[in-house]
Amino acid sequence: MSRKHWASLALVVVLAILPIGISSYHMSLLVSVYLAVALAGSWNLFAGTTGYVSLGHGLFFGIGAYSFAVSLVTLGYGPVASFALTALCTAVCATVLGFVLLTTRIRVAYFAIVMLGFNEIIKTVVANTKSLGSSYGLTLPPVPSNLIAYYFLLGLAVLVVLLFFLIQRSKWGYGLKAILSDEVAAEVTGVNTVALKMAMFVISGTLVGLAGGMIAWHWSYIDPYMAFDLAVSFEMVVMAVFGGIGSLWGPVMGAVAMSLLKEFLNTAVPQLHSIIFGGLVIILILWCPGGIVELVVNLRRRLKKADATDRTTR
Amino acid sequence: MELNTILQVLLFGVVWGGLYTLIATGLNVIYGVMKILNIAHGELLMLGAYLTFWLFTLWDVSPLVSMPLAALAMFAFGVIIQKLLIEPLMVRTKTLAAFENATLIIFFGVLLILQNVAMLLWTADYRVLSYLNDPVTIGGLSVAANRLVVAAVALAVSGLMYVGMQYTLVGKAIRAVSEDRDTAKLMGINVKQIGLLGFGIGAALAGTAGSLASTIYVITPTVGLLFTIKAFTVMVIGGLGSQMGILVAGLALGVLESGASYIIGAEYKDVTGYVLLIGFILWKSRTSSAFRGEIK
Repeated sequence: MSRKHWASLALVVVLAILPIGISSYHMSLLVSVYLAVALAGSWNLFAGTTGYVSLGHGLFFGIGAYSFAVSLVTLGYGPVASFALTALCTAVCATVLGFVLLTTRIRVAYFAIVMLGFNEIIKTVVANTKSLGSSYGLTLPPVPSNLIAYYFLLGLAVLVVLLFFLIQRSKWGYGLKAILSDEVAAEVTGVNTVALKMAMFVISGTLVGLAGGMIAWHWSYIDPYMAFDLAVSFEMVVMAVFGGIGSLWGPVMGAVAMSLLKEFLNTAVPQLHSIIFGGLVIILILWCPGGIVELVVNLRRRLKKADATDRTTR
Repeated sequence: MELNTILQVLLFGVVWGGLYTLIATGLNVIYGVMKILNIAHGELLMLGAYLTFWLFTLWDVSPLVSMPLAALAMFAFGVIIQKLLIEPLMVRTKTLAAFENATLIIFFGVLLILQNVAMLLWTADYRVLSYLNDPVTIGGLSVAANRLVVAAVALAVSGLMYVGMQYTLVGKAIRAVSEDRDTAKLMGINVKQIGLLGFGIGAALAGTAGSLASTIYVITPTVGLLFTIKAFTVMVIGGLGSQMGILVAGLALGVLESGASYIIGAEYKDVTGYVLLIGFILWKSRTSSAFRGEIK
C-alpha cells in the first residue's frame, strides 16, 4: 500500500472514532456531509464512468426512501431486513429502467431529461397512491440512536469511493473508459457495452436508494415532494461536477466543500444563503470549469514548474 | 362526450399549446445558437410574469403593454448573461462535453439566484392577476377572454419568429450558426454577435411568455421549472431547430394535457407531458440515429 492509501485509511479510522468527542450539532453536520459524499459519489459511479449524465438520479433516492418506509412501517420488518429490501427494490427498479434506457445508445441530453421525467412521473404516482400515504406521506418510528445514521452513511460513503477505486483498476474499468471515449468503437472492439452500462447503473442506483432509505428513517417522515425533490437530483450533479466528474476524489471534495459551504452560509446569512451559494458556484465554475480536481492539478503543476525554474536559476 | 365538451377541451389545449410553443421557440433559439440547455429558462419567464403582475397591480398597466417591456428587459438580461457568463466559459473550456457540463452548473446557479431573489423580494405568496376574466361566448363555447388573448398573441409572436428566422438576414445568420458554427464563421458571420442576439431573443421570448402566463396561471418564485420542462418536451418532439415542428408539438402537448386532465384527472396533467416525452425519445432512439449518442 502506498502513502496515499494509508492516509485514506487513517482518515476513515479517525472519522469512525470521532463521534466519541463531538457535539450533536457537529454530528448532524457530518451526517449531512456523508450523505452528500455518498450521493455525489454514487452519481459519479454511473455518470462519471459512462458519460451518461443523469438529471433524475434522485428517483432512486425516493424509491429507496419509500421502500424502506413501507417495509418498516407497513410490512413491519426489522431495520436490517428493511435495508435489504430497499436495496433489492432499487436494484430491480434500476434494472428495469436500464433495460428501457440503456439497451440502445441514446443521446446524453435526452437520457438526462428522460431520467428527470421518470422522477416526476413516479412522484405524481406516489402522491396519488393511497397505500403510500398520498401527498401526506408516511411517518416512521425514530432512529434509536444518531450513531446509526452516522455510521451507516459513513460506511456508504466509504463503500462508494472504494467501489470506484476498485472498478477503475479492474477489467470493467478499461471497458468503461472505452465507452466513455467512444461507445461505438468500444462495442466494435468487443466490449459488452450494454452489460457494463447496466451494471454501473444498477450499482449506482442501489447505493443512492440505500442512502434514501437511511435518510427516510433519520427524518422519521417522508412525503413525495421531499423524497422525489428535484433539488436532490440536481445537487448530486452539481457537487460531482463541481469537484470533478469522473475522478475518484473529485465528487468527494465537491460534496464536502459544497455541504460545508452551504451549512456555513445557512448560519451566517440565513436570508441570502441560496443567492450567495448560487453566485459562488457560478464564479468557481467560471474560474475553473473542470472542477476542484483540475484546480489542484493546475496548482501542483505550477508549484513543480516554480520548483524547476528555481533549480535552474540557481 | 358531447361535441361542445370536445371543443372546449381542444380550445384549452390550444391556449396552453400556444404558450408552450412560444416558450419552446425561445429555448430552441438559445439551444441552437449556443448548444446550451438553459435550465433557468423558466426563471426568465417567472421574472416577466412578476414584472407584469406588479405593473398591473401598482399602476394598472395592461399586460399587453407590459409584454413588450418584459421582452425588452429579458432581452437585456439575456445579453448580459451571455456576455458575463457564457462567453468567458467558452474561452476557458476545451471540449464540448466540458462546456456542456459547466453550463449546466452555471444555469443551476442562475436558477438558484433568480428563484431566491424573487422569494426575497416578493415572498412565496401565490399571485394572481385578474385581467379580462369575463367569459366570452363564441358559437356556444364559453371561454375567458384572457385565454383567447394568450392563444392569439402567443401564436402570432411564434409566427413572427418563424417569418423572421426564415426570411431576414439576421434570422438566416442565426440558423447558419445553429447548423454549423465553424462554417458560419468562415462565411463571414459574426458568431459572437449572433450568440448575444440569440440569447437575447430567446430570453425576450421567455419574458413575453411570462407576461402572457401571468394572466392565466398563478405566479410563484418556483413556477419556472415546470415551464422549462414543458418547453424542453416541445423542443425535442418538434425536432431541434424546426419552427414548424415546434408549433405542431406545442399544440399537440397542450391538447393532450387538456384532454388527459379532463379524462384522467387534473393531477395527471403534467405527467402526460412526461410520458409523451419519454415515449417519443425511446421510440426515436430505436429508430433514428439522430437520437443516439454521437455527441457525448
